[in-house]
Amino acid sequence: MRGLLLTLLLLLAGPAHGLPAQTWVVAIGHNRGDAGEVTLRFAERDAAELADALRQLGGVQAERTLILLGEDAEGVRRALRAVHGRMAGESDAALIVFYSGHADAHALHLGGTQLPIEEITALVSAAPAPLRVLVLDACRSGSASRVKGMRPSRSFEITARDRVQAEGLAIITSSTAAEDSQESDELRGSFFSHHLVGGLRGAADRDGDERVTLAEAYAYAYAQTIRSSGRTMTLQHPTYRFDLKGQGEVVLTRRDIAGHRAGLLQLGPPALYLIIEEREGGAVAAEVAPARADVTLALAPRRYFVQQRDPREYRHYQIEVQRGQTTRLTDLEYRTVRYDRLVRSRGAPIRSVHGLLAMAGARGGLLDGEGVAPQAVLGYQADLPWLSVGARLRFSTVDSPGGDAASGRRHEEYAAAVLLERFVDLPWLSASFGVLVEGTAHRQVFTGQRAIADRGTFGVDFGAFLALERHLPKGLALRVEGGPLSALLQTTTVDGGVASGTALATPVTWWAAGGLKWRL
Amino acid sequence: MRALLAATLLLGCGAPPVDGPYRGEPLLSLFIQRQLAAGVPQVGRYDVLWSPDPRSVALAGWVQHGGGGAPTEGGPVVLRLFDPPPAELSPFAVGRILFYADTADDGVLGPGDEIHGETWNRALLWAARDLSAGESPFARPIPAGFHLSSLPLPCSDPTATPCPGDCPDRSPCDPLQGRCSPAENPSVHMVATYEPRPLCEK
Repeated sequence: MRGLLLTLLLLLAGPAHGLPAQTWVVAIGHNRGDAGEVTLRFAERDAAELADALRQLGGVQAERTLILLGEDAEGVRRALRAVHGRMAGESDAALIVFYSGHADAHALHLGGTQLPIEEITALVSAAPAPLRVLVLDACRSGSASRVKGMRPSRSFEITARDRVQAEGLAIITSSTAAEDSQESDELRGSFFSHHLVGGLRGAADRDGDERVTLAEAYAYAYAQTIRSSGRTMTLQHPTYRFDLKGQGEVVLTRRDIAGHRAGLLQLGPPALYLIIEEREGGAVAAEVAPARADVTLALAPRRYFVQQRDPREYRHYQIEVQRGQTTRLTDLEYRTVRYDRLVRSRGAPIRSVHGLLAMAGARGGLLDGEGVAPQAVLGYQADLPWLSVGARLRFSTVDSPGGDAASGRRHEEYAAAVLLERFVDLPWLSASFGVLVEGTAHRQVFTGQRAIADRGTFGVDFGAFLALERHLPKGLALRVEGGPLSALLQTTTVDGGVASGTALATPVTWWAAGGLKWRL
Repeated sequence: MRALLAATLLLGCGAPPVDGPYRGEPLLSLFIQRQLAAGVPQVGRYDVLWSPDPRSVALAGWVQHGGGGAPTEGGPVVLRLFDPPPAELSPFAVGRILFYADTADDGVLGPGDEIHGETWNRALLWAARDLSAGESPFARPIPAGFHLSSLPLPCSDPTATPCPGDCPDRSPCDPLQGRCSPAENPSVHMVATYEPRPLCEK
């Protein structure tokens, strides 16, 4: 598909034309569909946003912009016919029709009325303008997440693509005939519309020529819709049909226009950027993922919170975009937030962060005569929203004198543990408390001159701990931890230097360790 | 995975770990019947001194090794031997059991430590290997290992009295006396006197 898109871009490469001065935009949005279809939240907003983007960044005149919100089928018919009439006699006209709302394979669902797709396609196709663009972000009810979509059947795709014969007609749909389209609470819009608007604002400017063409906007919206819908249970693939032979590139938005009406924000390296109005937790103004560095977005002048999602961390910027000025993100101070903290604060789209752990430490004596035992720990840790879980392997060894000079011995422990811990993230470090349960193989090897058979048993350890973590560069974190440990194991009692029986021992001791954690 | 599981299981195999001053499995345990006269200190240390020559009188020539009996304040005493006599005494050594005041508490019979008593009825024999009559200082064959023999030892008795060969289990033959040893808990008797003397008549 990527190859196809590149081919498309190449085919359409040529002299770039901005939108004609007599461009008309008809943006139709209807949150309500047929009876029984769940009411959408953002379909009407999608229409308004797209119209606004084309007006602000594409130079479309306000008096040539119709935003039809909540209109029924007859209202849409009347409006399109009226536009036809207004366009008559305009030699340099264009028509862009956008629809967001419920639909099935045959018709748009407009508040209990239906407008056949065949009819709206014909209405757009018949418009007296050399360039006509129909964008359908069609949806229907489906699940609690307000799944939007065309009825999954072949007929719709065929209808949308093949019944349009006119020259200079482009049709874009938000999903294939077999797929649903979705809207997002976080984005406050449908995936497709949101990314189409984000692309028009500059994110889609793949070649850096400060203009966003129809092909670039589609390619960007296509890629981002797949990425966003990939986080849900339903993958969504936008489709297109461009019949624009001989017309070269069609420029929808231009930075020189945008620069006068909006503020510009130059992003940094390719990454996912979440641009939120005012401050963290506010409304999402744009979620963009430019394919190249230093892409410039046109935004409404105001304060924004920008979250740059890099592979190992988020970078948080608090910026102010001013009309006619360019704000460069790379020149600004930012605050780094690691993924584990984001997961724990339930502020990241991912639900878990995984890491490996290597530590060295010590524990107190466990059996008679034992001093502090050095130990090595290898572990795995998964940070989840509410708690962190871990698994560990531990090895410790300690020598002790035994009963006399010839019976010195070494106590080795091979342990596997599971841990549960709860983090409290502070500005400069993270603190946690937790518990662990450990299965331990104890092995006692006699190292003195006297030949004494090795001994061994299995035991269980129960521990509690406090830990501190401090993030370091390159995904590393420094970790120190420690706490009490109670062992439960069977031992041989000793009397007069010889074995006298067995007993269940429950020694209580301490342990501490420190080392590095590496987030995967 | 199976190999890992097997290796893990092996780590935990064997008798449970010891939790105390364990010295190992004793090679020989001696039960000492004390007959200490009034006025003799009850607290002291029991140990074995070894020599290749039962006729040696001065203790300076005897080697303290392998016994290290714990200090005792009375009651039955078990003296456990965890090691054979020193290798330089190989292939034969005779041991005498002493009760002394370990004033330095170092487990070593020093010049200032007073000897309170010595066994009067038994001595220990040790052979690193089976000794033929020609290799034995007593002109009698001695099997490898520890033996408890009655005193006095037959240093000058050329008459070889063979073991009857029918000692019951756990009643080893005294190779020097040709008698079966007591069956269980071989005990030695200790008196509250000590006089430098050989373990056999010349």
